[in-house]
Amino acid sequence: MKIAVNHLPVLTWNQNKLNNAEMEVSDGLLSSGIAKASAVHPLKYNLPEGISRQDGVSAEKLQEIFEQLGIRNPKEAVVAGKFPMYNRQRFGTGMGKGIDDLLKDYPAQIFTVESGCRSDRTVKLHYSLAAGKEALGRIFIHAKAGSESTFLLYYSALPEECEYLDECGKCEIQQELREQKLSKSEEGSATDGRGFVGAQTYLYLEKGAKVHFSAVQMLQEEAVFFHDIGTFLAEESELTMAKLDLGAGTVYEGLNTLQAGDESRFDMDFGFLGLPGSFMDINYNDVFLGKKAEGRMYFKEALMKGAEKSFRGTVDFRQYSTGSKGDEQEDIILLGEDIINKTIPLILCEEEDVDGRHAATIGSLAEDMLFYMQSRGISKKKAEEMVVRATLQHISGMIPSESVKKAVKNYICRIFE
Amino acid sequence: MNQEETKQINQDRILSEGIERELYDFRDEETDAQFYRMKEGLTEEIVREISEMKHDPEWMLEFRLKSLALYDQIKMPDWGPSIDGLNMDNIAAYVRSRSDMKGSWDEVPEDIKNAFEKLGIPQAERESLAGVGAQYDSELVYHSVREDVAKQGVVYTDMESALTGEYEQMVKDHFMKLVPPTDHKFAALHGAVWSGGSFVYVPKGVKVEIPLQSYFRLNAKGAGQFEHTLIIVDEGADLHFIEGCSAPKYNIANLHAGCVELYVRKNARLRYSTIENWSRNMYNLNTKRAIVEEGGVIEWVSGSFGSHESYLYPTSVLKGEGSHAEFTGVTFAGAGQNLDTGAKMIHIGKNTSSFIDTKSISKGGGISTYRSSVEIRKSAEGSKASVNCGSLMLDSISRSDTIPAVDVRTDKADVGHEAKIGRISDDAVFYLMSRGIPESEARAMIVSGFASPVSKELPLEYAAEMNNLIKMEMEGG
Repeated sequence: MKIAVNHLPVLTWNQNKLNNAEMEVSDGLLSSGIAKASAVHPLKYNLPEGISRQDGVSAEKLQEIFEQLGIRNPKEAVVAGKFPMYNRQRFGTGMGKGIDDLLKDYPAQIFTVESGCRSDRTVKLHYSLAAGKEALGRIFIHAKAGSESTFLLYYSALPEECEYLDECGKCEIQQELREQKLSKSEEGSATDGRGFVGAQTYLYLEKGAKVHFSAVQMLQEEAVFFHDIGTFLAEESELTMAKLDLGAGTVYEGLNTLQAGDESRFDMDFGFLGLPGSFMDINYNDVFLGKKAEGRMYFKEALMKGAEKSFRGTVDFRQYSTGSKGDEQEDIILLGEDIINKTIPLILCEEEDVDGRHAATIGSLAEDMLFYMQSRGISKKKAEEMVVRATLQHISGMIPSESVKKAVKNYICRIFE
Repeated sequence: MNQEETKQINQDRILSEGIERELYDFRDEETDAQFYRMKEGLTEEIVREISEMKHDPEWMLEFRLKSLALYDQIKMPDWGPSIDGLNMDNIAAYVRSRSDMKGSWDEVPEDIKNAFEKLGIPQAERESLAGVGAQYDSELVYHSVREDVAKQGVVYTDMESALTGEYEQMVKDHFMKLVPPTDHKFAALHGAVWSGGSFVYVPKGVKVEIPLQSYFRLNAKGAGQFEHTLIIVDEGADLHFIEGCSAPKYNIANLHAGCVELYVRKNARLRYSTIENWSRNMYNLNTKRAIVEEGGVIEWVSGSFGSHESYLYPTSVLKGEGSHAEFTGVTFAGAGQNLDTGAKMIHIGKNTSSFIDTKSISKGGGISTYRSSVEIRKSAEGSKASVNCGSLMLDSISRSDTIPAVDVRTDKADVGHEAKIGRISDDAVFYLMSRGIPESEARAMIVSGFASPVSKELPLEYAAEMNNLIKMEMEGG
């Protein structure tokens, strides 16, 4: 079955094949009772004081909670060719309603950060997937007024036995897993042993709340992964986000940020490593409703031989979002032949008093730089590794876990072995 | 005094003089005695009748009929501005003066000549052009090329003469080969009912020092204009071609679905400049495409001010190694306008390069959309592309969208893209007002400055016209 996801907010030429993407979901995934699958779940909760968790919240109940919180996507100007994506979901996400429908039977976990809670400890949610397994999950993070919290979502191929995240980042364990994966995939599964992980994350920030949110994905190279995010920022709230997608051969990423309140701030850094022959499809939107809101989305990407990537990034200023500023930047380094890199950065604007910018740079490793490095005994492969490391270093440095930072370093090292 | 200073003085003059609003909106009633008007709609019978009236060769009739069949099959675009208000059953595809095309302004019928006099075309021809073609409704009414230019072997004639004369084979080899009728619905429509337009051939090595110009005027109410422009600039040759267009305003829809095909041979250069000021009831669904061979250069300069709705994306196909394309454009969308404009660059040859620089301005509820596509194919190793687009919002009832796509299929390419949107700086307005310039004029000056990358690429008279149009728009004209 194919699900239409990642709709471009305004349609353009069909031959660009960027108006949306189709995500293939195996029939086995839908019929195999995946809700029972244990592969995706936080292995260890060690919640800081002032943060609570509620499990097993049904999709209907989740919608009721959204309604009670007054979350509703706003009406927008009718522009021909504008895909009606925003108003089809109560809580808009980047991948769109197709994911709501896919997950309609999957319970959610709710994390509530109480008002005034200011925790300097990170809520670490470690999702490990045994090779060839499939799993889906939903999380709703509700940060109440004036709170400050830090969340880390870590998707890895590490074995379930690992209980403590801080002990998981060792290179030896990764190697052990790789062997395990190869032997398991020979047995076959509902997705031909590839593995499938899907996650939907909602972040709702009340007035003055601050959330530091990170997500790192280092699944098996054969796996399919999607992460669909919706955020709602009330006045004076701040969301900082760091995302790294390093593994999984097929990745779909979507985000819709609604800067609903005045003077809200959104800062996002996204790093992506396109493995050889991999596929990635991204749709990130930052919608400005409130006055004097500021949003920034920066993407750093490296594509290896045969990688294919489609990127949609939108800065959307709605009427009355006066004094708001939106900034989006995508930098892509091309490291191999036969790549396909599609980029469509949009600015949509129906307000005079705003300041918007987007930019993209796409290029290969400069020959003179490569020559310089090679003349000093650094191989091309090592030079490329250095470039990838440098490209992603800024983002990995933002991850609130030393062990995951180390795992990222080891992962990149292994890719270039 | 250098050219920049002269241009500045001229701009200042225009900004200080009163604006003649009726400059473009005047209209003349067309009587049956003076004009032939085909019945509205689009049928095989109508297509055959157009073909017969134009004395088409047999292959062209077949081409028209195949295009008509394609038009019926191809769906309307599902992206871009709505064109629901356009009904081909209400459009007359062919309207022409009963007078033949003339080679002298004196012989052109008085009312038509007056229209072009008001637009300043004969004066421009005398002062700054190497040749002029003037189309009124569906056919050219005047065509002329300077003797010294003709002596160089430059061919500048109407399409009908080219099609039935000694250039028939050349036309047949190139006509709608670059923009096939399968391309989109309105390319198919054009293939079925085209009439008028110009054919230009610049021989090898010939450099035409001053521009040629075609001016298109659609005067008839509820009519379509489907002119075809075919230009071949042979090896090492050089040409600047200027296109202008306008129409009076009616309260029912008019349609412009022209087609421009440009062939730029090895090491040749072609600059194609357009100042478009169709009336606010016009659906402007125009298609322009250039193919550039080794070392060739295509430069597009485009000013879009008129029409009710526009779909306009000049395309450059960089086929030859080292070929280069530039697109410089400004779009001003005022009240009741939805202008969807931009450019496409397709890099096929090695070491090709392209540069897009556009400015969009929205005011009074107008919608301006910048839409582009830069495609760098696997074969285009060593290619470079740069896109720079700026948008200016002049109020909060307007809309401005930027939709640029980039598709890169080789790792040996460098692409840069930047877009900005903003408003007129209060500080800049305050600064000018503190020096005694009224606010409205200060704002007009700032907008003219914003659009200056385009105006400075135009010949002086056209830059002045463009600034004139900006001032008219800023005053709500």
